Amino acid sequence: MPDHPPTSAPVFSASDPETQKRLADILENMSDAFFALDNDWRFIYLNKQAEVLLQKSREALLGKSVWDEFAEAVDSTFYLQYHLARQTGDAVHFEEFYPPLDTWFQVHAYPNTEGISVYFANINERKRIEQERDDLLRRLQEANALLDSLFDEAPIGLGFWDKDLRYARVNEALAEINGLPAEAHIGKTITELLPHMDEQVIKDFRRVIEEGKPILAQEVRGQTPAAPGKERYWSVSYYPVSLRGEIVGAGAVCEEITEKKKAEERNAFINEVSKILASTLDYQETLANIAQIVVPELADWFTVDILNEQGELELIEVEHKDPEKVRWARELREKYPVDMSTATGEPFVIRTGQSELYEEISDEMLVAGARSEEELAIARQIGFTSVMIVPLVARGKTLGAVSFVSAESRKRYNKEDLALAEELGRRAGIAIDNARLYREAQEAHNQLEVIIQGVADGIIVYNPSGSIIYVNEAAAQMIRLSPVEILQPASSGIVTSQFEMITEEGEPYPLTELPHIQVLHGASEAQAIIGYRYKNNPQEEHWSITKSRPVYDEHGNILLVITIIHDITEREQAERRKDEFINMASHELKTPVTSLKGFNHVLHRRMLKQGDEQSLHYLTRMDAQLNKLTQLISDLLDISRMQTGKLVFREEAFDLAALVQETVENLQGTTNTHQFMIEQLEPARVVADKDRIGQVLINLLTNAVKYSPGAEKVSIRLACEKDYARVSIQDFGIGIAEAHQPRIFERFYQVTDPEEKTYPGLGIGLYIASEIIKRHNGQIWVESTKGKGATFYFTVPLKYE
Amino acid sequence: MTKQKKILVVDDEQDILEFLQVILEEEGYEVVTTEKAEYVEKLRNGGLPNLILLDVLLSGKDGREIVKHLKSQDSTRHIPVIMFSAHPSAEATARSSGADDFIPKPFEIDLLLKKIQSFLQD
Repeated sequence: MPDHPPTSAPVFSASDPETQKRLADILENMSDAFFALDNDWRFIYLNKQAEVLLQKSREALLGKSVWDEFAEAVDSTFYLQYHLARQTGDAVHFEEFYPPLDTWFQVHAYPNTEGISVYFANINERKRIEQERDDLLRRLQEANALLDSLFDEAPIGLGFWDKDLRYARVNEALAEINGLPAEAHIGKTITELLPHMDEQVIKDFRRVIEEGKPILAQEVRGQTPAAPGKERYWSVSYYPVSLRGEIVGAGAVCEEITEKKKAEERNAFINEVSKILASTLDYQETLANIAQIVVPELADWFTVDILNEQGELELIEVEHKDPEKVRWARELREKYPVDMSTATGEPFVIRTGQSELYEEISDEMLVAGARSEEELAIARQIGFTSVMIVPLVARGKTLGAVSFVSAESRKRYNKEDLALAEELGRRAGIAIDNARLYREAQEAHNQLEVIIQGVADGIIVYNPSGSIIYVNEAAAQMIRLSPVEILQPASSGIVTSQFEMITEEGEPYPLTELPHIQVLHGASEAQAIIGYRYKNNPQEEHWSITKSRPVYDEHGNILLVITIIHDITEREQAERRKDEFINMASHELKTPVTSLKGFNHVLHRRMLKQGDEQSLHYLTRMDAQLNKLTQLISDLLDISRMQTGKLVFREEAFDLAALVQETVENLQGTTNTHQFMIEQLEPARVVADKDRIGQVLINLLTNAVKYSPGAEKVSIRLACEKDYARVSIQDFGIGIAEAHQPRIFERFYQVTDPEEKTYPGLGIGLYIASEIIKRHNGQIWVESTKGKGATFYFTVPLKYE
Repeated sequence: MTKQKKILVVDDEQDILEFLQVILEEEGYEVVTTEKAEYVEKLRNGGLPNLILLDVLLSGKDGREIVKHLKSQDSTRHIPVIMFSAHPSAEATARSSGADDFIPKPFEIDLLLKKIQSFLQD
């Protein structure tokens, strides 16, 4: 039986053939393989099974050395074991793989005096099963080890509690959270280990075990022996643990979220700070509000220092929960101003823009920093624990410093606190900067506002869409509405509905011609005289010179239109009274002249019948003087109207040549000393006020006569150039000195020369002529040499049909 | 010899009415003068004139209203009206009211006679 090999060596006896044969039969039919070797390791026998397992025939092996036939076995386990058996004389038993035959052998070898007998069997099948079992076991062990590792090395706390809520297992992370070795937990209850833990934890564990359902992500707050006195936060999930369908306890996953929680709180803090900073532009108030939330949350003392214009530190905010101490601190600062040359503290922070963090203030530091015994005493009295100083920064400039001092709370600042403080410093800096800019702008604005409001002229500012965005008091008064009413968004039309606007001629003022509209439509400046008839009091009339100008942005687009309304009501009224008076006066003067001329004419006819030459002569001179008087009256009226721009022209198309001819003919009768000679006359169609151009001709012709007392003729020419007709009237009289020439067209200008005879007149004829020609877009000038007469020229644009 | 032409002169200046009467009669016209605006009565009583000389500003009545009225009636529309005034800006309004011609005061008598003649030529 292969599994039970003989315990003692079989005995071969050659002397007994019967026995020998029987033995051979047994060996032959044994399920185990068997061979026997002599002392020289030669096969002397092998059974059938051996032939099978060794894969060689008896014939091939018998008498051959085993080590020759199975050379690969030399020095193998087989070789060593057989030799060992032979040397010791003891049986050997072993299992070994023989690669050339790809077979696992179980071997029992028995040495004897003749050699060695070997029983062996193929145990490949058994070995395979064993191998599989070993593999399985190993994998199981590995899996367990992995689970243990997963559990133990997980960076979040894991634990298992039995039904009595005793710790059954905790991982390293949980052990660390709790601040106790993992082994120390086992068998203890939660309350025993963590007396400061939230009771909610135990309640949640119980519920999980009772209900068999997990509870996820519960926020837990408490302290553990790992950090006594430090409030920490965890997120804990609980779940039931079952074994074969029965709940045996509860597991928990526990993650510390203290940092996250703190970050949230910091964010909430910063948000609150930001809200306060944005709430007002009064930064003193803002800082006071911030101080309220910093103390006592973040600091026991909170101070803000700002660098003033003299480069000194000004304590603008100090906060402590005790108002008495705040007063004391302010007094201290008065007494001990900050020395800006100090190497540390606020001066350092302000100089460098870098924060300072003193996690722990030692007494040595106080001693080193104090300038006097008294200061040291004060510093000790404050009881500095930890200090942060951060810069107040805005637009890259350090405005000051903010200090957070931990004293009695014993709080120690760390880098995270510093980051929070720096953020606060940045935000506060921007808020202070904004507040300063706003205040400066406000002050500038106020100053300007006072000036503009004080201006007697109305000022209205329009935006590019024509809406009013500013009115000063004077303008509002003119409009008879309050600035608020004018500036309200729906005010479109409210202003123009207050009054009717009229032109100087009394016509409704076209809205598209209003100066600001003209400017909005591209004019670089526009001006108008506008009358206002108030709707609630039509009797009242106001007048203004209204001037508009645009303000452009850098791209040349209109940014706004500034309109200045200068009240000229009084001037206008005076002007009107003057006009009315002059109109009336000229009417009143002309009426008697009309009668004089009429009766003069009647008399003239009588004298003509009677043949009284002398009287006729007088009457003619009277009539000439009456004509002069008429002209003077007309000139005075014209000059008054020209001054106010009210001279109205009636334009019509006519032939200038005909007018020249007609005027010359009419005037020829008024002189018997001079001959008017038309030297050149080209047809010239113009569009102009015929009477006024006639007036210019009369004026120049009478002047020509007047200033050439010794001459006999006046030459008249009318020539056409490309675009205009040019009339010249040449006299051969006294001429005009060059110095006077540019000025003779000025109003009331008279050539006075003591050496010369005085020529009476008002000095307005040439002024009127020049104004008339200018208003017709023509030119008027004189060419003259003193003593050699003068030639007056004027041009009128030609009209082509 | 044709029938004598009748001219109605309306002005509130007595002097002007007087010398115009003399001058125009010497020129061979029949002249009716009136100081006030009751010209209508004159027209009815003495028959329609061939021409009217009319001052723009009459005391109590605006000459321009009279022209407008005359020019709106079928019976008087054809009568030429020459207006005159010492008022500087009267011409435009006179013409726009319907006056056929205008002559500013003080006027040259010869010029006035020329204008009258041009209207009354046969």
